Amino acid sequence: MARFCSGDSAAFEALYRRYAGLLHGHLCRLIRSPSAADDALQLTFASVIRSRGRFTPGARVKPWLYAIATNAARDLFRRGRGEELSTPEQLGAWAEPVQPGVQDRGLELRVRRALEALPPAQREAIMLHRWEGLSFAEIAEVVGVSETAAKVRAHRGYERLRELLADLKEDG
Amino acid sequence: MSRTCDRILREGSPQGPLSAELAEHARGCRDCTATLETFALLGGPGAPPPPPPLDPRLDPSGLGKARPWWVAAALAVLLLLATAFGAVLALGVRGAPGHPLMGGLTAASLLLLIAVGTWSALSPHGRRLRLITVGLAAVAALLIVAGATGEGGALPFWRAGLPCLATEVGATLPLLALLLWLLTRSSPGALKVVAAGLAGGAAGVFALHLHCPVSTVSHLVVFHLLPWAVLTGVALTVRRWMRTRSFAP
Repeated sequence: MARFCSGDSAAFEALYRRYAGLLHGHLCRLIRSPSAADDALQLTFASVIRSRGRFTPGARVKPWLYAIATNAARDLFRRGRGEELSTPEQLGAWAEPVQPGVQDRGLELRVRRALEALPPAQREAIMLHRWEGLSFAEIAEVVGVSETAAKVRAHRGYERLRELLADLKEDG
Repeated sequence: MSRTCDRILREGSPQGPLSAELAEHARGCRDCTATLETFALLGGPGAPPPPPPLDPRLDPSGLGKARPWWVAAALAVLLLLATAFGAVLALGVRGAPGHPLMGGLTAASLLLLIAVGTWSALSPHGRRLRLITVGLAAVAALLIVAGATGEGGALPFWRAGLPCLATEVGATLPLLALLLWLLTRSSPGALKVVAAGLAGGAAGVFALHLHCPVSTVSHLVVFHLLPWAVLTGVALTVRRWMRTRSFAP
């Protein structure tokens, strides 16, 4: 990032190669529409180019990029590009089974509907923690809150999910 | 939630086994058992489709060295302060003589608000400063009302007030337009716009504070403070309509 900020365009391509896959996965999970996720990814890297001067030298690149991608996804939702989750087919082939080795689309849909039922701030915190593997300090940077607030959001989200999925655990 | 529960929340993973210490805790803790069950239901990250190739329009070659964000922020602070003092010079100082300490404190709080509000609105990490800006605006508003001397009340209410309203709107609108344009270069955020709106409006309020000879509470509230609040609200609405050119924090 430091090389890109100082005008090295090859560093941008390296940045894209390294993070585009991760960010695209994050955007697919957030937006659920691969075509809108593609657009959000381009918006993310367009923002990286335009706003490279807003990157703090020495700061971590990954949370900064996730913050941009999350903001781009929110903007697409606000402008009505986010698609509603309605059928298992819409989950697409990229969606991971909720329990490894179990191709149960019905179960998967219920888990995803439970995620949908969470307040957006809690859902974002859980997705970044659970699926993107970000630490709470990194999540705090992405969503622009304190580390404690990020932890509280995730904890409350997991609690709510636990309640929403209680019948699944009993069935299992 | 104990410290170990907190560690399980941070480290518990369905992909890898927990350390012996955490596993032993989880076996005896209903809360952590439920957390780990929820983790297992959620699973790990799926394999998304491969990312699309980079859009050829996003060609970074020939961009040169990045200009740090604080250059634009510092220029904006200087421009707003210059506008505030320029408006005072253009209008003249003939404000109602109140207590000099109160008048000085009000002017200082408004100038500080212009600087802190503009800087925090344009900074990538200004959340705390933005909250301070809102606090400073409340303090400045209180000082303005508390400093009212009741003088100048002989003029008809609207005749005395409309020039103040026009001056404040005229001084604030160009500054707000500039700040909103600068704000489209970063991710949207209501608190950023509020900070920008309060800073932009403070320039007009500062000029009025030194210029306006009417010092009744009703005049100050209706023609000095209310337009300030309304313009900040308008800024929030306008920013929602504006296209965001960058989603960087």
